[in-house]
Amino acid sequence: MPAEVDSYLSEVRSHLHLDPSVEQRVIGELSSHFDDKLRDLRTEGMSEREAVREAIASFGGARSIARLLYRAHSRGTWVETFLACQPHLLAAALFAAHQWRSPLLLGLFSAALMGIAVAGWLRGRPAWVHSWAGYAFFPLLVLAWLGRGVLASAFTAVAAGGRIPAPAWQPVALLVLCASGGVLLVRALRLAAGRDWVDAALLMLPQPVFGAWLLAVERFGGLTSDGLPLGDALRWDPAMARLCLLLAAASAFAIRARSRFVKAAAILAAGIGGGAIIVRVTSTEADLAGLAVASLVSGALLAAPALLGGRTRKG
Amino acid sequence: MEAHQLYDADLLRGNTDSLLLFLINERGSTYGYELIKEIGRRSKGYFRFREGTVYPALRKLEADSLVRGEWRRIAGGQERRYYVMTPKGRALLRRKIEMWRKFSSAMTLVLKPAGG
Repeated sequence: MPAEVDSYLSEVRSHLHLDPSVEQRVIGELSSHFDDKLRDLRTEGMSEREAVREAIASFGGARSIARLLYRAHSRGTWVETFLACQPHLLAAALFAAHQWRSPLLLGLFSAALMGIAVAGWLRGRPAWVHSWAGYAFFPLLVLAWLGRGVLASAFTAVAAGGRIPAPAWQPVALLVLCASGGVLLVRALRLAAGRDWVDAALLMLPQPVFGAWLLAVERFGGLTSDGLPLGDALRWDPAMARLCLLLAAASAFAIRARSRFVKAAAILAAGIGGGAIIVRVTSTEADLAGLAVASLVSGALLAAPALLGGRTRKG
Repeated sequence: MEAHQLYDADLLRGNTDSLLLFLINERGSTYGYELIKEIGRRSKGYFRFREGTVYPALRKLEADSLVRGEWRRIAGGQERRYYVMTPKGRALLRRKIEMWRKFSSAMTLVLKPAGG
């Protein structure tokens, strides 16, 4: 294949944002088109250079053809849509039934999240698996959040030249868990964003809503405490359940829409709107400026993978 | 497929599926480049479009289960993606041809000079 055609096909591929195996099939089909076309043009008497120029010109602009190919290939099936919505629907059910503090249900939910996310990730990373992966990191984040006091006292002791307070294994285990969780999250985001920002944003989608909710719950004494203050936090459950349904709807849009713009708009609207709504629900003092800040933080969380994706593709 | 300025582009775009389905059905199994050449040959070069746009159109037909794509190894070890009709595609093609015949007959009747 002439270098100009290879370069043209590479440009098409760089704008496809599809599963690597799908991209390979698409480019394979286009390559065979160029083989046939160049052979015919040479037979007609064109020089190599003219034939290459004509073949590329008659095929169309790389970006616009890639956009059409993306639209034709990116629409997930209804089964994939169903799978992408499931973690949000399960979370909605936990909140609707006020069961998010049930150790059994929470354990089962976390095990299912991690199991399905890892299995899907290892089997070609279809788009729907990013919804599961987004929640799969949440147990780790909660654990890190709960253990921040233990970590802080261990750091203070070490910084003062003393020993880690007993039991020493707790801060060490937490540190290892947090570090490996953080590395895994960044790695997952880089991989997802390297293919398509939409995948990475699907992964980040629950974080603004759940992050804001977690901070709010902490104001009422924390996840582990009982009593009246937490009873207040439970009043937010219906709102959380509805927000999880909103995230499910956004995920469904992101899987079913053909246009990348519509996918991105659905995720950003749900993520930014959801982050602001949960701040409004949990904080009566939140004014317009507070909501604007919540929206900005949510937007930044969702948009950040785009930077990772850009670096991955350039690299 | 996106047409050049010889005619209203929407006219061809709206009938792309019919053209592709008809040719795939007629040939039994065929591939993208052959379809492009055949459309050009039969229309005597009237239908002109960016060739790359045929592949997304074929993919949409495949996603809608109207055609089935399969890779075949050809001489020289090269692989090529062939498309064959499905029963659903055949049924749709019959309906589209019938619809087009009625539509074009009606258009011809309306466009005939009055009293002709």
